[in-house]
Amino acid sequence: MMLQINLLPEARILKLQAMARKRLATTVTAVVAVVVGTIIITLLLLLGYTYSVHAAGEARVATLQKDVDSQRELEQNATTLQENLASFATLQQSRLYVSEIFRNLGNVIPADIKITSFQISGDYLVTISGTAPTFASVSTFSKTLQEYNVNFKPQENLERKPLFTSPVITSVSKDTGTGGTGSVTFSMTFKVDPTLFSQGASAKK
Amino acid sequence: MEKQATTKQSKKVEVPRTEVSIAQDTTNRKYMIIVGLIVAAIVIVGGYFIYRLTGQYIYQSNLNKAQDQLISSLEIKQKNLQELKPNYEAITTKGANGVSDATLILRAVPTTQDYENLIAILEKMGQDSGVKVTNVSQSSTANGASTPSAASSNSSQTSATAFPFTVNVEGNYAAILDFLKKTEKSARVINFNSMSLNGNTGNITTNLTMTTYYKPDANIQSTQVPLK
Repeated sequence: MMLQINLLPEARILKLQAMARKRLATTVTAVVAVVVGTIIITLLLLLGYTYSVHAAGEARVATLQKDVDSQRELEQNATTLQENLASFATLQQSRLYVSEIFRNLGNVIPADIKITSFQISGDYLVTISGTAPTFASVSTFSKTLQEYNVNFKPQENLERKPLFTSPVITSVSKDTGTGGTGSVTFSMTFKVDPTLFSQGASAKK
Repeated sequence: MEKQATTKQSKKVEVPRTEVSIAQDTTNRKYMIIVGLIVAAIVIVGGYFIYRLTGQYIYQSNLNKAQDQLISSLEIKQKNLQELKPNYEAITTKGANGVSDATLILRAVPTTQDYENLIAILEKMGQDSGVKVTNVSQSSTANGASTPSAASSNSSQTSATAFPFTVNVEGNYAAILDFLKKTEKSARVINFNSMSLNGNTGNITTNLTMTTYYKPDANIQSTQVPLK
């Protein structure tokens, strides 16, 4: 068995320990500095790479942009035409041929009834107002509207079904005042079938 | 107990404190403090730089990603424009009737109100139908939105701006009917809203409220999209 005996004096041992501590501290500092430095250098390299990639991309973007800009007028005009054509298609699709309604209505109106206003709303509801000699004339007109294209004057180019539906006499009044004409003023609403009118108009075209 | 105390004392050997050893201790302590401060400084300053550089790197990477997307979209746009060129030339070339398709489209739905041209169209239609156009005026309210056409053209791409107007015409029943037909067949889209009538079958005065449409130049400004 071998026995190791430290024959160094205590002061020397302490000095050596202190030196060892110093060395350890220096090593730790160096390691920390190297690690931090490596990270910073790596990040700088990555950043440099991304900057160079960006710079190369900038050149490509500039070339492409220049080419696209040179065709800006073409792009503007073509897009405008495309959008306006789409608008036209939509407008044309929902276009209502009012002259057909007006013409057919002219066939229904009795000779003694005078129409003073005609209006059609977005839901194909027609509002008309006018004058008639009697209340009975207004009533007859309302009935004739419902029977038009079914029992009365069926249209050759249209399916035999009512063109004017749900007629409602919204107001009717007689001018009985002094010097009044005695005529009846009325207002009426009814619905039209837009498909029939647009089909009829298309067929005639 | 005494034995234990003696053992403990024997482990802690008192080193004689000389001037040299005290100075050495002080130097050591100072060294350790300086080293500690240096490490702390490296960690703080290095950490700050790492933080800033990482942020910059992320930002730059995102910029590159955005640039890649931009290049990709520009390439697609360039390709599409190349493909569009012959089609555009075809649509802008005058046909047998001396009018190009592009002109017809812009006549149907112009890019401006083009009120002057509308008046001319109405006057021409009036002459052809045999009615007298006595007045044309712009309506202040855009009530054209209630017409069937406007109601069904709500999407931003296809929606046109309604331009309501009133036109007063005089003529017989057949001529007014013909005038209405001509508005329906007009190159420019004209929709009927309402009319008021006055007079007898031989000479009717009507006040027509109609709507025409226009669509301003398309917006081709670049749009921003989030990074993918």
